[in-house]
Amino acid sequence: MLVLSVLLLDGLMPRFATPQVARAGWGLVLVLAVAMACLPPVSGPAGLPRVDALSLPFVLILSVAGLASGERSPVLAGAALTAGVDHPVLFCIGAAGLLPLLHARGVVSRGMVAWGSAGAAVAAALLSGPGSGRLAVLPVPALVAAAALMGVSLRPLAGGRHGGSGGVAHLAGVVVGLCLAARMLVVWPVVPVGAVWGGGVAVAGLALALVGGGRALGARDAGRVLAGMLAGWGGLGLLLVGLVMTGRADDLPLLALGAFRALMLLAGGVGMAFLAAILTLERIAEAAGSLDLARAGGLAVLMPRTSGLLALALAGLCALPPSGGFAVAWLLVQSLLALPRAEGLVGAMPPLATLAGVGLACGLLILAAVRLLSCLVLGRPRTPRAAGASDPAPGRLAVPGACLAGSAWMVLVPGGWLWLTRRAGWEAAGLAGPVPSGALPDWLALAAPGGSGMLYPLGVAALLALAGGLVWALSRLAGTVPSRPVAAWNEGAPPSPPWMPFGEPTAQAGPAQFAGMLPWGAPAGYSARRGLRRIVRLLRYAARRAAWLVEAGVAGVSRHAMGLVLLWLAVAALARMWGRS
Amino acid sequence: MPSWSVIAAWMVGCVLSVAHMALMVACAPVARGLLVAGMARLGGAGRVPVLARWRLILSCARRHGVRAAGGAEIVPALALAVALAACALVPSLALGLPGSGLADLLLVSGLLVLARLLPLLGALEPGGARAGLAAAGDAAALAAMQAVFPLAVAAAVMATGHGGIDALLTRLRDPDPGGGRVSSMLLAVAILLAGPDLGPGDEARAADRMVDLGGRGRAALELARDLALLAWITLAGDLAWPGGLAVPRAGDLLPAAGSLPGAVAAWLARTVAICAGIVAARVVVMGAARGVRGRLVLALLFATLAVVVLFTGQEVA
Repeated sequence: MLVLSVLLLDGLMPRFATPQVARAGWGLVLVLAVAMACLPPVSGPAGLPRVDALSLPFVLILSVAGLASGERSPVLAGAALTAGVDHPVLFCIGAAGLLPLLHARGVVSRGMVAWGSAGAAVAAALLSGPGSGRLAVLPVPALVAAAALMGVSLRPLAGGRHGGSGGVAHLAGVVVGLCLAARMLVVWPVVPVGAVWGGGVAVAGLALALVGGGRALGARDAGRVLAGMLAGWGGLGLLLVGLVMTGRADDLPLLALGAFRALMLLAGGVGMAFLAAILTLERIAEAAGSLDLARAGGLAVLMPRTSGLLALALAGLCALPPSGGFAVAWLLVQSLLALPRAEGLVGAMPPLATLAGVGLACGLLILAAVRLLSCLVLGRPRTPRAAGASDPAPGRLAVPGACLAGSAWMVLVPGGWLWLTRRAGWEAAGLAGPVPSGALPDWLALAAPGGSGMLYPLGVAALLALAGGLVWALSRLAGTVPSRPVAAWNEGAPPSPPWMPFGEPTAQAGPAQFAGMLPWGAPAGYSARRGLRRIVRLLRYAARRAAWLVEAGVAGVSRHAMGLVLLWLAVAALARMWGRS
Repeated sequence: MPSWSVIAAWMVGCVLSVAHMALMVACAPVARGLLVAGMARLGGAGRVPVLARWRLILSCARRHGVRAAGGAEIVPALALAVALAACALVPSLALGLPGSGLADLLLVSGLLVLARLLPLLGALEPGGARAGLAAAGDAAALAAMQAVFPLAVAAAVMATGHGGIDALLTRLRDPDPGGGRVSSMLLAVAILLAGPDLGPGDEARAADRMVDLGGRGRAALELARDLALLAWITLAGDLAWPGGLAVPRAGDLLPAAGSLPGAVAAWLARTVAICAGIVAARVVVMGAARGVRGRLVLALLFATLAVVVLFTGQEVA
């Protein structure tokens, strides 16, 4: 109750509260949530709303986001209120109220607000009934509502019309969307939803992740690259929810638990790295102006501390060791391998295709991060505003640095974060009563659900530190001399004229160099893309014609409403008379 | 409290690990030199000394180098450290050395991808178009190849039930590993196609990337490239023929000292054989195959085949 009231205070008084008050409120929420996670569960008086075990991780992440950003808009408070509710109808109302707020921040398109609200309402209605037969269609509206909240869709577009720059609201949307998917598809159904639907949700999540990665790769400014990457990780989160559903349906609690742990690491470790990247980009935008990839650049020299922080945050978002993204991807691959398969080669093919898709999605996210880093941080500045940027005061970088440190703690010592969220994992895995010994998280290791291996993130980090120390010691012992800085070689071209103080743009690396490098940018893919575009154009034309027909029909009906009503009465009377005779 | 015998075995294991690393560092430039010399000889480009890579690295390390961007002081050292860490996790001589519990197929491939990715950032820092284009092409190729590594892990886990390298190789050494032996050979081909920078044009792109770099940074980057290549070759060789590795007997913590020279000879033989295979494939088969797509398709095909062969016996039965 206290948590909810503090959240309400934060959310309902955005105009009066100063950032310090908002931060204090979020800090109180964080302390209370951590205390509730550490203490044994206490059953409160019946009828009082209380924060249940499953909502604690999501409320924790949202409260850290609020504490770090000092956000005073009602988005974060609404998201935390929604995530903290353990009732389908109240959750649906919260999600439907959150969607317009997310639309105002550019997270969700206008069309998806209506679709998401309708999906949440239908899912809540399906969950409210006593029978289990209606659960057969539950995943469709739940998936639509989760996708709307997370701002992901299958449209491979990344322009300004289709979404805003990545911000804290995007992170809140992804967290609430994952919470909705976990609650509506795993926890709330009275009987587990079928394993086939688990596979369907996983495939949908993978498709959304691939589209999100493609969006990040084609976006024109840094904020939208980050929004695309967030959508990509959100899609992978939905994939993990699908795996948890399969584990519940097939009565494999360790698989469900492993996939849910990966989901927690995604929301915690990767989410904190996202938060650090979002806050660092805000600092960069204050100092360097536009974050358009074709206009900014060269910040590594001008803002070395901020650039280093951004590079570390982006490294945490890539699926490369020893980052949080790698830990999530490793657990995801191991969970996919632990899935029950049908006999024979045919049964092995769907997981293999999913694994290749997961690898490709991770590759797209890596490429998007490299593109962002190379255009924003590396290279040369391209505008006077960017050339005049300088590092902010060290105190202003403390918050993103703390977020990054939190992300590193969650990943390198995964037992701490997984211990805080242990009850949510047991609830998602359906472990009621005495908890088996394998369900307690290891402090330093991540265990594969299928028992095929262990990952020690801290050991990997220690090995890398050891190798780095070895290189440094060898360099000192060999007496190598540091190199001297020179101007980059421009292959003998004449120096750029005075009206081009930032150099010839065509002789520099730019954002477009990365976009067309993948195989589908090759000439062989042109014909397929042309055919796809033609189909899309035809579908749009058909939709326009259908909309015109519907409008014409509605107009005709409204124009002749009275006559139609009389006609209907006459027909009804005639039918009744004919029935009696 | 561990007993003295365990501590002594751990210390001997550390010495063996140091010997393994020294061998890897010493042989890495020689292996790439062997490849370059073989391709030059068979391609009709004349003689290239096998030790030319070592000479290049040493001469670069002794020189007062230049750099066009500040990151060139950090990135090469990071890339070398990552490559060394990956080499430490790939067994060349013996199984069961200290730290081998960390070795996982996905982890090693991730570290080796990171070792290839870091130099690309160094190339993008000066902002030049030629180096940037080469780095963007390499980054896109790396991103596309990420699709292969989860498939490789799947093939290994389905064949042996293990994703950790030591457990996987130990299982493959069993007299009856099922269909795992053929599968692991196909897997070795898949990771050789997907992992190292061996394709046509890779050498030219690497030269383009390092055009603004000299001195110790250049030496570190060249050594990191060679170490990553040798790590891939050693991993593929281990998967293709795990019989050459020395393993501890039942009850022992370390392999017998007498088996180590044979293990070194087997590793050298595997490496030379794989280098010869790569040269033959580059000159005869893939001479005309430009670009990454051909390699990606081939790697995916081999990784899928590695799973398919596991089921062929079952389908027939």
